[in-house]
Amino acid sequence: MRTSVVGLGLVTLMLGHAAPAAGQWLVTDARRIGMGGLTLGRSGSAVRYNPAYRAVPAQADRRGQPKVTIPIPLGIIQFLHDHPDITNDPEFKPGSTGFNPVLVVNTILNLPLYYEVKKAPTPTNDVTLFIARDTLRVDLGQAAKLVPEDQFGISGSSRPLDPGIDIKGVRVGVMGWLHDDVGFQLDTTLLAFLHDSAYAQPNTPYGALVHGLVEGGFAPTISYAGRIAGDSAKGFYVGGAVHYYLGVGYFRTDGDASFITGNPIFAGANPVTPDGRTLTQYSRPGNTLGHGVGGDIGAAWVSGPIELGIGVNDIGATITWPDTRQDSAYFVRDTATNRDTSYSTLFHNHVTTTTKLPVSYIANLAYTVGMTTLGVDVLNTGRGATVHVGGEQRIGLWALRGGIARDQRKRVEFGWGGGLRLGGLGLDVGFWTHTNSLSNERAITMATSLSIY
Amino acid sequence: MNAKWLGVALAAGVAAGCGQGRAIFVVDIYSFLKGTNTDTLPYSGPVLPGVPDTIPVQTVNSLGLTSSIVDTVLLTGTISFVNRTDTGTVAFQVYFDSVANTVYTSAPAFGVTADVLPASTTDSSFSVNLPDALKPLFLASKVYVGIRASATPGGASSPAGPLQGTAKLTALQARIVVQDKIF
Repeated sequence: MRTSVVGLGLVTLMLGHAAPAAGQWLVTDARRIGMGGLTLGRSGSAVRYNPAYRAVPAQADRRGQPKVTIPIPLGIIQFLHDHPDITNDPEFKPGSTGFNPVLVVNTILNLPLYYEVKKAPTPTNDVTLFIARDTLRVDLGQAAKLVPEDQFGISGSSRPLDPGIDIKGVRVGVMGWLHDDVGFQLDTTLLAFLHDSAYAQPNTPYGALVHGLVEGGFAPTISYAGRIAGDSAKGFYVGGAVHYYLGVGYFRTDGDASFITGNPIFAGANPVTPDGRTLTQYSRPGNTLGHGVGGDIGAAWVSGPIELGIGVNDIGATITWPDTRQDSAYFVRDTATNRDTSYSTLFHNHVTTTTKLPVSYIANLAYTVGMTTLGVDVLNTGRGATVHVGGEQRIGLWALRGGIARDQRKRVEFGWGGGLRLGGLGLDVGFWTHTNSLSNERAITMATSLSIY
Repeated sequence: MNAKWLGVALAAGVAAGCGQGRAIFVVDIYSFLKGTNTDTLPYSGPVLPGVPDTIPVQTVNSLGLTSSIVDTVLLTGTISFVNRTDTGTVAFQVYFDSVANTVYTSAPAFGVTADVLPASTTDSSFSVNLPDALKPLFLASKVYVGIRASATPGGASSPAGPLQGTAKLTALQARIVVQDKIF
């Protein structure tokens, strides 16, 4: 019991707070963190989401960008100091009386790569559950604010491999692709019960809509990136790619999970009865491959101190899966035995279904004059846009940086930092506020990295 | 009670609250007794033949968190002794057990006594911390509850009684603080 409840609780909370975390996990550059996550030039997300950037010169000197950035993982040292024997650490062992689920979730949401200068305080209030014969109410106190009111979840669309041959701007290759999307939305009754401490009503379902999807495959791709006007100092670049997606496998489930209260709630043997129903659809690896066509387009304009780019990925990328099995899955209480049971039944087999890759887009603007670089970017990977605004001022050997960001949950975060460059080697430090932890207050992370110019 | 699904009701938020805070469960035992009309018990001293001085054992659905450790169980409530005849002392005893058949064979969890007067109502409030031995009872999914009322006549004019009336429970609540992380 303990494990299952822990699991659901943690997953729920983690999903609710994971969306903004995804972006930060991938940032290993203290410079970028110091500028609030800003993407500049060919760094960060620009090349990934804007095919035109493949043709844009790096211009490393102009923006003080290093050739290589090596993160210094002070957070790992901190973590190992605090938890020298994690395998036997009671705080990480479910079932132990010292098990701390909040610590586990926060560790997952904030992988300890960087040093956590200020940890977000977790709610320390008492949680009270009221039980009477015809009453059930929970008071989560301050923790109720952590219960997500809107649809929440995590999703990602990545291209882990992209080998190919590039000849005069035309590139032929095979791209690996992976898409995952997990969503959750509490229904109004469960939301009121948890968030507003409303009394549970008898004979009423309390639940959540659940959705999960993972799919992957490879895509033969032909693309082009090149400058169609101007020169290296002032030019207009375009890029485009056409992918023929081949799906190796996918799994999707959509349904609802709830419990139904008794009437009166606690008068009978079963105050609450579980009720879960989902439609699962999958095409295993080895089945007929899925297929679909999609494309990317992008453009970048570089004019002296100004650089402007926009890119859109996976346009029209609908994957058709010709050999899908569909099952109806249930988790209910067996009225004969009064035990919880799960089972699934075949709904359809060998049917055609479709999935759709999310359209991602990026827009970025950078302005460099003298030793100053300012920039802004907007990135949307399918679950809301993130906005980064930041800049860097280089003064001799030193660099000062600052930035502000709005994450996928529309929370404002701040970044600041600096760097010291000695010849071909630089040391950068960046600070970034975040609200990835199980808390409504910001934490502050310090990132450190070495740069090779 | 199926505690697993009670836990599910909480799961989406409670884990955060339990990180450093305590989990507190408030069980309104009175509501279970009132629902079966066993919140009222006549008393008589001396005991009248054939008239029980106890209520039928009642079942209260509780937590079902047997792997947890209870810190405290605080019982609070109020009893009204509606006395009809004579003067004396009425004792009201509450029993808890994990087995229905042995509720009245064990010692009472706590008791309340009150001096009563003829044709008058005496209200007695109580607040009792359960002893350690009884705390784990409230972690089970069911707790069996019994009540006994006994009367001892003490009036100078009629020392042999009968002292008669009705003990009415008007509130009985258990506040259970769980020591460890329940989720």
